[in-house]
Amino acid sequence: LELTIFERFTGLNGMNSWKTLPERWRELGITAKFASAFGMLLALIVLVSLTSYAALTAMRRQTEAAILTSMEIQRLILEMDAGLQRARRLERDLFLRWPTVGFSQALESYARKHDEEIAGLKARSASLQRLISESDVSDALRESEVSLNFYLSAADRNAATFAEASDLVTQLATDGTGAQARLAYSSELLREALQRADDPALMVLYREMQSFEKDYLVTRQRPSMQSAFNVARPLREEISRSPGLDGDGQAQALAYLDDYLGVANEILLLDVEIGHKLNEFDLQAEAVDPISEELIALASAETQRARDQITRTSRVAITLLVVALVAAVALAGGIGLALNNTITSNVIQLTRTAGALRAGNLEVRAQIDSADELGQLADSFNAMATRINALVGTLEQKVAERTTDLTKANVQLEQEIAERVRAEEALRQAKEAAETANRAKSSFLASMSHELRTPLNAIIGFTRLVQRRSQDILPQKQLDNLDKVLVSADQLLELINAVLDLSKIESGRIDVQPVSFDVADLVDTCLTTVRPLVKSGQVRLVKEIEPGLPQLFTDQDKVRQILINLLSNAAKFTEAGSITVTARRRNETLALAVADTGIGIPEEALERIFEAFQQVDGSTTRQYGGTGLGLSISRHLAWLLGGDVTVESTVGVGSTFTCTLPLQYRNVPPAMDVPLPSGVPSAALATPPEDSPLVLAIDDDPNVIYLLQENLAEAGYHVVGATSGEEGLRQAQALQPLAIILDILMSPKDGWQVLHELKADVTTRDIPVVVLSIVDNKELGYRLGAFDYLVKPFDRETILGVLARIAPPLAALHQVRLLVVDDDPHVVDLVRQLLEDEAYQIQSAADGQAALEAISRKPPDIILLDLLMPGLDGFGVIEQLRQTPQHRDIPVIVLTAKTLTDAELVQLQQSVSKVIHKRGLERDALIEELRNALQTYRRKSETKG
Amino acid sequence: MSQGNPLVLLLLAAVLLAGCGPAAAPSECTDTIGCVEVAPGEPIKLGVMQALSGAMAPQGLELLQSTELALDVRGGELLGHPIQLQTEDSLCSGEGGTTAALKIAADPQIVGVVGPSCSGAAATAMKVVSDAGLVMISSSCSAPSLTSVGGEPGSDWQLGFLRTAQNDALVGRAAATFAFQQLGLRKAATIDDGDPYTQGLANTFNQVFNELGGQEVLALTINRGDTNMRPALNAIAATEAELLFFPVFRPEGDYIVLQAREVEGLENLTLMSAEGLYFDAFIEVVGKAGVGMYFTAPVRPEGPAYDVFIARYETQYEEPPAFTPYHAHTYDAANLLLNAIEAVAVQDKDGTLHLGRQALRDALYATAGYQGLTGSLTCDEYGDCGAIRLHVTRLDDPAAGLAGLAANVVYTYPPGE
Repeated sequence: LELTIFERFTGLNGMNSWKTLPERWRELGITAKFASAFGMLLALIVLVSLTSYAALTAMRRQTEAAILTSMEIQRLILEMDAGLQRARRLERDLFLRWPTVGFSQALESYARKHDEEIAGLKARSASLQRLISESDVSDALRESEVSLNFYLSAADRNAATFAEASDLVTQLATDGTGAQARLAYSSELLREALQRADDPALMVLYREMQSFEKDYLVTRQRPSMQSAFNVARPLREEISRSPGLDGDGQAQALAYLDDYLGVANEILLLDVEIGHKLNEFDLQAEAVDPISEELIALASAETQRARDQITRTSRVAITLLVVALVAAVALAGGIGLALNNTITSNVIQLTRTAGALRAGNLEVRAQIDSADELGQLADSFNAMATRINALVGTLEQKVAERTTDLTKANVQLEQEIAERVRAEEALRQAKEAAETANRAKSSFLASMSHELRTPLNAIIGFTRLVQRRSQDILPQKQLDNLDKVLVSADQLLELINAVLDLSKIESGRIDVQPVSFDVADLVDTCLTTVRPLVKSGQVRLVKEIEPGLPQLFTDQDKVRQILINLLSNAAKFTEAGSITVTARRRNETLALAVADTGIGIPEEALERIFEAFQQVDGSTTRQYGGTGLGLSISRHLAWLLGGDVTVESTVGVGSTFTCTLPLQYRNVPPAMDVPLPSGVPSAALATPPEDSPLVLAIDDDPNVIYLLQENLAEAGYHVVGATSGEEGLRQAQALQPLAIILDILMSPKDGWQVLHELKADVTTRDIPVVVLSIVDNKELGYRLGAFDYLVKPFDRETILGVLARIAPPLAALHQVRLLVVDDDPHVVDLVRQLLEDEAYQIQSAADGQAALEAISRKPPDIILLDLLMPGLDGFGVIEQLRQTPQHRDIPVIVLTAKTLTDAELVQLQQSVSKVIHKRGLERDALIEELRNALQTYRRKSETKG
Repeated sequence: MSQGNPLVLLLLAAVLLAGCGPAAAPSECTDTIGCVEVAPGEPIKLGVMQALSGAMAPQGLELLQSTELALDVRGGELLGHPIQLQTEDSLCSGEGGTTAALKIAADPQIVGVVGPSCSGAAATAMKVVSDAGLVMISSSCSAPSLTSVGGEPGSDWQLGFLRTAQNDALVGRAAATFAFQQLGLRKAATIDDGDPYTQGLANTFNQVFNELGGQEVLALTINRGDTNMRPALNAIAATEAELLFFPVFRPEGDYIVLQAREVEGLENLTLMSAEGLYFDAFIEVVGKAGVGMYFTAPVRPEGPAYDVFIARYETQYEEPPAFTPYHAHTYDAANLLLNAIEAVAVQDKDGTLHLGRQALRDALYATAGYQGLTGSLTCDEYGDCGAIRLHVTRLDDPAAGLAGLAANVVYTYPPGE
């Protein structure tokens, strides 16, 4: 293979040797092409690397040379400058110090060193000149040649001047032979000659001359010497005339004087010459100093130039690299293009051709002009296509025959399919019609029941009122009639509600609101509720709760509805015996069973009874009442909660309805679990309103507690119940009620014991206890500390009278302003009548706008609000109120017949105290709600205040 | 060096010049003391040395400006090359001359020098300049020692030095003749300051005065920088001299005049000086003390060429030149140098100039009959090229200043011309 590649690539194959490069390339194999391409890329990398290396090396060399030269130049110049300064110091020292250190010593100390410095200076200057001429230096430095010439010649001149000056000083000052020594000697000879004359006039003139001479020698001011010369003139004359000197003596003295004057003139000349030399030194310094400075500046500039050169070189190196890089990229691009044109595009073309062939174009052929593997592949492909084309030619005939058969079959099949489609369409239409009808039914039921409930609520409300008010007016017969009206109305309302529930369940419009709750409490509540329905005396209500049952997490209201329904049924059909409620855990489900000893259900009716409007038979309805919807609803609700309701029954023995429910309602995260506090019965759990008088009722019969709650609440008392003596004692300590109503016949701890313990306990002994019992033993009661003693059955007014003596009810204390907002004047009227006895000052408004106006005029203490009204509805009123700070905290009780959605409920719960359905518009409940709302309001106001 | 050497050299140079000519390869230097090559676009460099600081600075500046004017007349160019001056301050002293000369000689491109102002500077400078192969042509250095004294080379003579100034031998002669013949004085004293110029002048004066039959009673030297002239003046007073010739510079001359009037016995002394004190400032300082003092000074040239020069000078520098005529001598000196360069330069096709240094010297020494501002100039073998006449003027009215002095001509030398 390698040989092939080599041959192809190099074109050394004899046949191909004349071909052009593109042609050779075309004939290469893919491997060779790739090998060539990558080879070129490799070469490129090597090229770029070499370029980089070369650029960096060149840069380093240039940089090094520039730096070394500039540094050497700078060194030489600085050394020259320093040498010059040293030479100058030596010159100065020589001429300044020789008079003090002695001439020979000065010459020895300074002259030789000076010569050495000058020699060094010249050597360095010459080196510098050489360096500059041989190196690549700046033009400015090169042009400093003149300065360096001068520097050199000045150094030469300096040396010469120094030598001349030294020579002059030597002539002047050499010990013994110098001019100054000779002057002193001549002077001494002259003095001796003059002394011999013993002529005072001569000595006076001599001393005067001497004085001028000394003056000169100190000041070197020529006029002093001239003065000496001036004295010499009369001295000469005096010598000639002096009688003390003979001819020889005169001649000798005159000769000495001439000597003296000659030497003095010599000294004058030497001093002038020395002065010239010193001036010359100064001038040289003046001339050389700027050159020295210029050279130093040039050296600095040279260093800077070296830096610039480094920058320039690095720029060139970078440019070189960039050029190499660009070339590399271009070449790489070219290689890529070549590969693309000869390989990739061929592959693409081959692919397209194959695609066309696959799509049925048997005439298509790959047009690839290449000798490589792709070219060979294209040839093979084309051959294959030709062959397929030929084969297909014979196949097509067979296919045509088959196609005819198939067409026939196909037509038949299409007809069948069309029929099928028509049938499905009919079916779908029927289904839609049914669903529409069902929706219409549900809708009808919902709206119908709503429309029915509104007047029915009025009927029930007014009937109750009439019954209550007319207790003493109407004959008993009429009162019974009213009872019948009430019973029928209640039944009707119940029926409507049941229908509505069922329709809601069926249409899936019911929501599950799971909470955690205690099953035992629920069972107790339900038993309390149904107790009035049970044939008293003949039927026992029995509760069997398995100990340790976990809390149930599901929709409490719905479970309650199911249980009450089952219990109501049991109560209805059980004439004697017992009704037993059992609660047991089965794995993760709870089995809640209601077993009765009633008439039982025939086996064939067992399933039917769960259907709507079905009882065991038609007569049952008439005999036992009921809507026939209860079980159906119960079962639907159980299904909704993920459980079921089943029944077992034996005619004449009794029936057991079992509701099984999952302990945890699914699809709801446990985090939402909000368990109620346990240990205290739920009825007693509610924190008593602060300023509502609290009464603790201790009785083992919940009915008694219930009745007390019902009767006393109306009068403004809050009644908390305890169903055993122990519990009563605990509650009394914990709640510190205003009063305690105490039953006597209880087990295990009877009322006497409880009374005794209450009075014995320092925390409870001051709480008045009213005994309410069937036992009539007033004496014992009072002795044990009872406040009062009443005998059952109790009378409402009597108990209220007793309690009034202990504490007046709350309602009497206030005149509460109540605003009733409803478009139905009946409702306003009804509320007004319901609260006639109570301390409410009632105002009304017929719509939202009127309500807001009334509120702004004078804010009420509480608002009773309908939701559905013309114009501004109840929601609007609430929203407006919450946006007004001074009205934000007014409690609002919503009174409506509307079926609320969950969203609406949530919205209302956030902003109103209570939602009351109009159907439940019972006087006592209404008063209780009003009271609670008011208390909440007051607490808020106090907190604010 | 024997006295025949310059002649030998001249001959040698002439031979060499003949040998060179246009046929010689232009790029090869055959000059005995070297060549200067001026590349295309490069300037022809000339040195200028003048006293540009100190008491002589006004004259030095004037001479520099006159040199520049000579260049300006040629458009600042010669043979297609710009002319560049390197100007150095040579002061008016030997050491100043040395230093300036060292600077000039350091630049091998400089072909010749105009200057310096003072003979003292010229004497030292020439030693350097001559060694460097340069020519230097001065317009105001008149010391005889620089060229020749009595037909013999002067003590400071150097090859390559020429001057358009007079030889002070003439000035000394003029002063002595005037004193002896016109003033009838017979006892004369001199004061010099040791400088070649002042010393040379004083010597010549004494020589001529003695020759004429007068008596040199005292020749004193003072130092530059002396301020107390009384001892010297007392010495003169003791000699009963009738005339004091003191060709010194300022401010020493100022002190001599002022203190002479205070010294007893000098009441009748006649004072005489030369161009060293020929300044307005001197007259201003001495005032009345200078009344009756005589000066020797070269005669200012006359004629249209000189008038044109003066007009140019005033236009260029917005004031007239001083009353000493050395500006004209300088102008002539510069032109002699430029002409000589022009004459000897060999130019390549590309404009490169080749200048033989010896050839240039020879060309200058060969100057003959050049019509300059100061007259017809012919250089002799010692470098004296000046043709000059002298005036003796007397200071009668100090308030009239130098102009008044210059106008008060009492004698002209040589007489009768």
